[in-house]
Amino acid sequence: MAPLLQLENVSVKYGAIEALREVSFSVEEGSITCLIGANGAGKSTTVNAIAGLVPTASGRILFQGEDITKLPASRRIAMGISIALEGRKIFGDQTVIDNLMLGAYTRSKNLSKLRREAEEMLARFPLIADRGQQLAGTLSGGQQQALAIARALMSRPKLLLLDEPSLGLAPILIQEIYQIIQDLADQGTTILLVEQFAAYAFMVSQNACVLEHGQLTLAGPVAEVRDDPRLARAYLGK
Amino acid sequence: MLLLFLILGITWGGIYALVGLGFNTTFWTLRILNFAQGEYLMAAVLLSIGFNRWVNLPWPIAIVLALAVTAALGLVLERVAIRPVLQHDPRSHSWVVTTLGAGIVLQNLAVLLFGTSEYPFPKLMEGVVQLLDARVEKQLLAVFAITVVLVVLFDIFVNRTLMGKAIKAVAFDRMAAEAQGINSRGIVMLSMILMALLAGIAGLLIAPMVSAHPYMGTLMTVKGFSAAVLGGLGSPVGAIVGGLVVGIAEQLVGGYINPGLKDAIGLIFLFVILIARPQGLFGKKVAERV
Amino acid sequence: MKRFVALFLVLSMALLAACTSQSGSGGTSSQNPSTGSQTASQSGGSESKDPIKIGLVAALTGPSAELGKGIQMAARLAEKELNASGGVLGRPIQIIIRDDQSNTQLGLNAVNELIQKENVVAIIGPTNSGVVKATLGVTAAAGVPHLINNGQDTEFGYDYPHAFQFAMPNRTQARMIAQFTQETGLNKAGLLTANDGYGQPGRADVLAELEALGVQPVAMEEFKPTDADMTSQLLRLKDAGANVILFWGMGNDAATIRKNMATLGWDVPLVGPNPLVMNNFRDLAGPEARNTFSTYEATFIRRPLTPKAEAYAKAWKAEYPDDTLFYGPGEEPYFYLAMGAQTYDAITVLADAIERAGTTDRAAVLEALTNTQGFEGVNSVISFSKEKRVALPDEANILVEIKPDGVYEMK
Ligand SMILES: Nc1ncnc2c1ncn2[C@@H]1O[C@H](COP(=O)(O)OP(=O)(O)O)[C@@H](O)[C@H]1O
Ligand SMILES: [Mg+2]
Repeated sequence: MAPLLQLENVSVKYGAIEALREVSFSVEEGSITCLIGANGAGKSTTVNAIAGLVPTASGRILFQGEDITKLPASRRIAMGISIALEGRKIFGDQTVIDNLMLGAYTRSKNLSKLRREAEEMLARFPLIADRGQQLAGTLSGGQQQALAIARALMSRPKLLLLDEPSLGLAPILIQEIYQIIQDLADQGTTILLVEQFAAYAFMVSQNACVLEHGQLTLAGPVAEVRDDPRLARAYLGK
Repeated sequence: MLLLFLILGITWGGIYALVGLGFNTTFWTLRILNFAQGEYLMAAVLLSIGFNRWVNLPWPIAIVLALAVTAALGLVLERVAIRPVLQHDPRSHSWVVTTLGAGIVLQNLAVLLFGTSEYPFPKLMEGVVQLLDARVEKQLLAVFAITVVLVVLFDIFVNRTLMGKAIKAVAFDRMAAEAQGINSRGIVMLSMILMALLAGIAGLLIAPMVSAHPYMGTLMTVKGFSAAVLGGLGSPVGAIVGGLVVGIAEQLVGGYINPGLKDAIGLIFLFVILIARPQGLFGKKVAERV
Repeated sequence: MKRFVALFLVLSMALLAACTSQSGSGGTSSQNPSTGSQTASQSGGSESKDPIKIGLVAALTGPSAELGKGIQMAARLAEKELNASGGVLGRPIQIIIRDDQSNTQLGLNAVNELIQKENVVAIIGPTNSGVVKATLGVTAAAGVPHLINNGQDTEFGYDYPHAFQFAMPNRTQARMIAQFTQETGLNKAGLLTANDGYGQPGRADVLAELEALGVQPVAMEEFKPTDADMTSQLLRLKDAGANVILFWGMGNDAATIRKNMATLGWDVPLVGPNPLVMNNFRDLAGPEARNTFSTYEATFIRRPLTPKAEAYAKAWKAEYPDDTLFYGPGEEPYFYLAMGAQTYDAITVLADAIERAGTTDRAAVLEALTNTQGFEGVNSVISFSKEKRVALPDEANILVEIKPDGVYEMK
């Protein structure tokens, strides 16, 4: 069976800076693949390119075997790709429910239906379950991350891109967030998980990709990547 | 007297609020202030007159068509005066100059087409009503009523529709909005259309009370801007309160002190608010991001 | 953010300043380039069958273009009639017309060119008072008779020995406006005048005339000609108990005032100078163009017409059968025809003076003009003197009532 997501020699440039150089890897359906690397390695650039938020300079991105390289973000969401951005990026001046409804923006414009679905989604996240009418900006960091994930799920993705969900969270909250990720995985959601701290990611992932200065230097099952000496180098040798 | 001043002040203040809301819409989506705003007010009025006089369209059709053209002109403004500037450098502030310039171009186009003379504009309704000890024209109340309806519709649109929430989302974080599949380009265009319509309708509302001419918009830019800044840029409630404060203060100063000072009131409020509370009455510090 | 707001503040203040300062009339009246023009006293060409040249400066384009066109039409009519009856001193009359676009500098240029290059006997015009003011020095220095066909400033007919005024002087209009309070018994007068070069002298004239009648205004307010809304001024007048508004300004501002009065449900007479009879007041005010009074030449309003007026109307209709702007759309001539007649009278009086002088020498023509007595013009019987060179006597002017559908003699 073809992988759900496939990157073929993808390069991304920010002006003169080449943030990604000829990156190729794939994500199997039903798995969690983590993308790890030092700060500035190009992890966010990779997932943003997959989500259609950053244009590619060259290469191809295939989703379910279909070339989506040139499709706008809205089309990719409709096809089943959703992203929880680095730094949560929730809409702080709107309520939790409104944030969730916006997550389903491409799927429906029926407000009452969306509201019902948002409430159902909320119920799945104990961290924020009773915060529906609160302004998202007033939530704590962990609650915001839960909201970001919940919002990404509102579009009913086949592939969920999570960019550093643990960033800036206290260890106890990181555990809660990873519990959520694990639950999602158990329900069969395919996830591409970006982490700077590999230890967390390895706990839930089957496969791992390592980025170094915009290039993919290592990829394979977590069991192998974890023990590869090049992994340490990826973090130390920058 | 006082009652009359209040009625007049609230009515004019409502008009300023509409223009102020127009300022907000483009501020949300583009982080720019469109200083051509008042010229859109003028354009809608003169185009209506043009369609009625020279194409012989009945007023309702002429007005709808004029608003459509004004909205289209809003899109043109984004394309020629704002997008190139932001594309070249998103942090650039050249839009101050380009939107002002676009306004001057619009004004001169209007002078070319309509000359510098004034034109009459029909009232919605004739007649006078007595409100306690104040007599006012029904037209004035109609203007007020329409303004209220528009403000309520605007509030419903922004707060109670998914599209409105999407506008706020784009305003808050463009990339995060895009990540939800919101087409921020489309939202920007929508905001330009809204801006043009708010200004245009404000113009159509005052046109019967004042006279229509190519320079009618400039002062309204100043007053709408005063309302928006006074209330706090980006805050719809702020624009409304700001508009009312400016409108009522104008009437009180004009009536009790000196009519010649009326037009300066908005500017005086701007000075005071900038010194005392730069984010405006209802603004969040977010305004400082620009 | 603060920076833009500050920038915008500066810009908008500049704008406000521009709004208030642009209200001065016509602009630079100080220029007086009278370069060597004193020498040419023999003018109008050599004593032969060459045409006698008269210079006319009019606003043929620009903001006063409509009026300028009417002036041009009247001038051509006079020229044609004079030449058809054998010209003056046995020579044809040639009227050389220059457009000043209501612009002071262009007006000055035109007057200089007409005097220096065309060597005209006299100057007629320009159309706008501000431009007239600027050119009076040039004609005075050159010793050229200056016939002011349209400017209404009170001083024109009194303060310049070489100038002759054919329009209704402001002071005369002010007197009639002030007298309205006596004729109607509405003597709680509220003054509402433009704070520009037209409104300020007008206000002074009205005040002086009111004082002569022993009437003290109950309130005085001013407006900027750009004011879109004058409800504040009106409420102050109303609060002071005014039962009539004495106005001095242009028709568009009067229209704003009438509309604002409607907004306030307040209805008292509005009395002002003759710009109010112009179509733009009635157009802009629409159904509110009512209870409004102005002064105007009686020529084409009062019936029956004088024989001279009747002849002029006939000649005009024959020459310009398609004109509706001045003659009006109907069979009967319209009041506005008097406007062109001012120019027509200026030219015919001048022709008469040249004939009496027996020469085109400017000094001699000036003297003959000054001695004009009982000349039958279209608008009035014209007499000049060393003290007063005003073509229209007070009784040539009447108060008219303006209604949405037209202008009527006040009853
Ligand atoms: N919008 C941008 N414009 C320019 N350079 C950027 C932008 N975003 C990221 N970069 C650069 O691209 C490289 C990769 O960044 P990023 O993908 O955010 O790394 P990571 O997520 O692995 O920390 C970095 O050098 C970063 O500075
Ligand atoms: Mg990152």
